[in-house]
Amino acid sequence: MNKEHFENLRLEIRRGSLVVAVLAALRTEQYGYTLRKNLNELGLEVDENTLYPLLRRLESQQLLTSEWREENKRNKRFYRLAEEGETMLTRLLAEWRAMDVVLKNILEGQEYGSDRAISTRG
Amino acid sequence: MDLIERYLHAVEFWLPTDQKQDILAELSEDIHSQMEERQAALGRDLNEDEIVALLKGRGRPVMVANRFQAQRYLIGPALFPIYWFVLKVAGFFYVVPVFVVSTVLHHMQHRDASWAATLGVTGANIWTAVVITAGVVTMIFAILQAFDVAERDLGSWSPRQLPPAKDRNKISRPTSVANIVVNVIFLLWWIPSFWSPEILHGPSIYLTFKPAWIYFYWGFLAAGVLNIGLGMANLLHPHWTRLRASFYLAINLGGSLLFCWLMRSHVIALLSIASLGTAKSEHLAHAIDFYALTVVFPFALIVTVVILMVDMLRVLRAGEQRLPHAAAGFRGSLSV
Repeated sequence: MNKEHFENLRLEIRRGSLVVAVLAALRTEQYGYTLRKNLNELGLEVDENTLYPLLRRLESQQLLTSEWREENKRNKRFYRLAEEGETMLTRLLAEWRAMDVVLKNILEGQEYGSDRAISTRG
Repeated sequence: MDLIERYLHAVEFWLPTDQKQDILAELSEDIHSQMEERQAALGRDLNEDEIVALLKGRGRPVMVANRFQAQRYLIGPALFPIYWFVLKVAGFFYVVPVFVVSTVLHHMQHRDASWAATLGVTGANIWTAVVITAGVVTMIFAILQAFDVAERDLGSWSPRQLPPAKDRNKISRPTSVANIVVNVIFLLWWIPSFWSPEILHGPSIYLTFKPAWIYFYWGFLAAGVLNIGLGMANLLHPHWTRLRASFYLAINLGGSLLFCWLMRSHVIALLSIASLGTAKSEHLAHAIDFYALTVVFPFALIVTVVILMVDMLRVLRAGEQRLPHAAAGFRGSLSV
């Protein structure tokens, strides 16, 4: 298997999932560094060069809101899901689940097909 | 800390102006949070090497800043296939003919130079044509992109506006008929008018060609006859085969080269116009030869190269195996 092709396809899958994950995570207000740490701890590795531009893009699309606030004597930018973001997240999750069902059906169909092939041969 | 400031300063240079300060503040905060976490884990301050490693891990400043830029392109994906096609056409029908013609002309002017030397000189000169052609085409498409032409004009399309699907190897009957008619008219004019090198022999004008004229006479006559034969074959079997396309290429190449040769062969033996007098008639004959050599010949050479390339494409295309048409299968399934 070509490693580069795999990596490109993996990134394509991750790109879409990352947006959903960030929107979902920001139902709770967080600043960039903690958000990245939390996502990493949950198994979704994301580097700062991907996360911060994404946060800005989502904010410019009015899916997130942000504000600078002082915490532990340092100014930090806190993000949270906007009202429009909540609607978007709901729709994206529905799409995600539908896609999951489709994939399951495809995979189960293949398994069923291969089982049938085995039983016919047997 | 100096390293971090230098890093942030380097990132700042490439950031979008309107968001510079905001992005830098957030980036700075992120770096400090990461450092604090490392320091807490180690129980001491980070040394310089560790800070260098941390910053290196974040990537080159220009790459970091680039992620904050909006996606930009000179020629977008909607226009790019058209741009690439135009570039290939310009290269094929302009740069290649110019290269061939300038090589031949250079060789004619410097007969003592080897072909390799000639190719070296024209190859070096052709770069100007390549750069200008590519530059002009790119500039035009970049302007179209800037004005969002692709989105506005190519966005609204309808399957009804698409050109009919044509078999590129099919020869239309009107084309074959026109080919036959044109060549018959040519021969009806050519055979009685030019069979003898004494072209005009009236009291007021006298024009004689050199004996070598006989080669041109028979050459063009043969090309005309062969073209009529090919036209008839095309009428009976209106589809290019590789053999027939090669035959057509050979006829066209022969005819074009013969014409180029004629233009530089100083074929006029004697031209005499009573009203002009001997000296002026001779002067006119020289002027015609000069004009044929310096103006018509290079132009004819360009046309020859273009004809040759078009005919070669036809030969290549004639050998292509086309996939069965999807629509045919669809019709079949409907009729079941």
